[in-house]
Amino acid sequence: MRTSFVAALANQKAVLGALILRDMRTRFGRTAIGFVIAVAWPLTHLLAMLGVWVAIGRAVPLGTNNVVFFGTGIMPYILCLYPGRMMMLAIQQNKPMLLFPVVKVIDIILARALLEMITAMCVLLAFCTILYIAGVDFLPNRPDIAIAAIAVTVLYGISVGLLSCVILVLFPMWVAIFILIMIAQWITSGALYLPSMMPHWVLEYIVYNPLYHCISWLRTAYYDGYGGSTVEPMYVVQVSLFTLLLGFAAERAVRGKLLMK
Amino acid sequence: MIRFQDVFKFYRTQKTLKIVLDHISFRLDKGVSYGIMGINGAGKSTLMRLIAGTEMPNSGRIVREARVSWPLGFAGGLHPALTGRENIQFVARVYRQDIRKAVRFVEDFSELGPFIDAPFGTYSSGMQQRLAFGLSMAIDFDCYLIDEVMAVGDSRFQQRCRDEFNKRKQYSDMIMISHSIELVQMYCDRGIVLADGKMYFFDSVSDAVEMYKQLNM
Repeated sequence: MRTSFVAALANQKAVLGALILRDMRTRFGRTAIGFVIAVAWPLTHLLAMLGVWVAIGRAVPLGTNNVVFFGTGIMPYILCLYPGRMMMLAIQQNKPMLLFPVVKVIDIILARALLEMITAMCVLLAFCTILYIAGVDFLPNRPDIAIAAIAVTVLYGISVGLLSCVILVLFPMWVAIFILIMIAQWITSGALYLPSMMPHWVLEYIVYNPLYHCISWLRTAYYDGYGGSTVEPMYVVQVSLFTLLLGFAAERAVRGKLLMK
Repeated sequence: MIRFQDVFKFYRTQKTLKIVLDHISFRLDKGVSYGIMGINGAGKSTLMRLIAGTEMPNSGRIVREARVSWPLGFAGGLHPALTGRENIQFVARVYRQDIRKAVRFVEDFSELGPFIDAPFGTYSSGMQQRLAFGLSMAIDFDCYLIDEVMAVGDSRFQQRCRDEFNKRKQYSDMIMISHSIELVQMYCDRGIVLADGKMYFFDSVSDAVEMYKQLNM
């Protein structure tokens, strides 16, 4: 339909709003607490992993607080993995909506991305609240850096998820590969150790892992003088933007196939 | 108005390549209702999906300057876990209609009673069709697509569908696929015959019917 820019924007807003509401309601079966589960799932994952690593009681290589060291390592992983995975399933789960001519593939992707950002924010807030109630001092020295690092982490997860959701429609195998890539990133991210303790030749490869930079950047908000020259936040931003571009291009290229499958 | 510009559309079956539209350009005008005829497998339903925009051409452009419906009576996009009411609310939101008005209309038209608050997946197929039909009537489409199904339900409800549809026809156009020569003649102003990747346009429906009859021989 040929419409003015303002009218098109209003249409877009209506479609996205409706899709987000429907997504919240239908993601985990027909329950009123569907969205609570969407938040509780990654939150439980995060708390359980953190609980295990803190309970082991190993001396951490940085600072004195185990919760802060492991928390700053595990949280970015969760806030990258879950938005990425949910983005990957966006088209697959919402396929029937494309039968309404007004709903486009891109609407489903954008709605899911917005919802994942909201979900990630809720997970973060709930996590901080729980730690606060538990009496753990999890406040960063530099909240501005911490917020920026988490925002970029979520952006990175969403960008990988966007590209994956297009690939997934063409290759159902992709779910397994996606998980493998995520695990590989997790192991080499330095969440549980300091990459600088690694031999130099290993570190040379680790710096290509965007998740390493997400975690290290977040840790610079907690530990003075941490990270040094190897932490490059802009690298994650560049990788994310490039992946987003690739994802949108891929969507456009195979849109016809996405609709038909 | 809907414009096809050099549209090429094919699909693959097991071994063969089926060409539905072979680089076709045409225009469907506002204020005119079209009847599309063609033998089984000519690609009428594919053409319908191209018009609706739920499928894309392999090459060429399709420009829509009208709000086109989904095929009438078609319930595929409705979510089985959501209640009838929630499905109506979703569609009304997407199409920017007054949500309460839409719900009230469908509630009244589709005669679902208390089932309106039951999950759509628990409906009988007749109830699903009735809801889907009521829903497409609750939204102001410029152009309704009809793929064979014009009325749903028992004969009393079918009459209700036709009455509502006749009211609609005053403001909206329709594009209809039908094997029923009678229906096409009753509702359409112009005729189109789809055959072998080509479209034949007729200013009078009876000329189209004539060609369609010959194809069937």
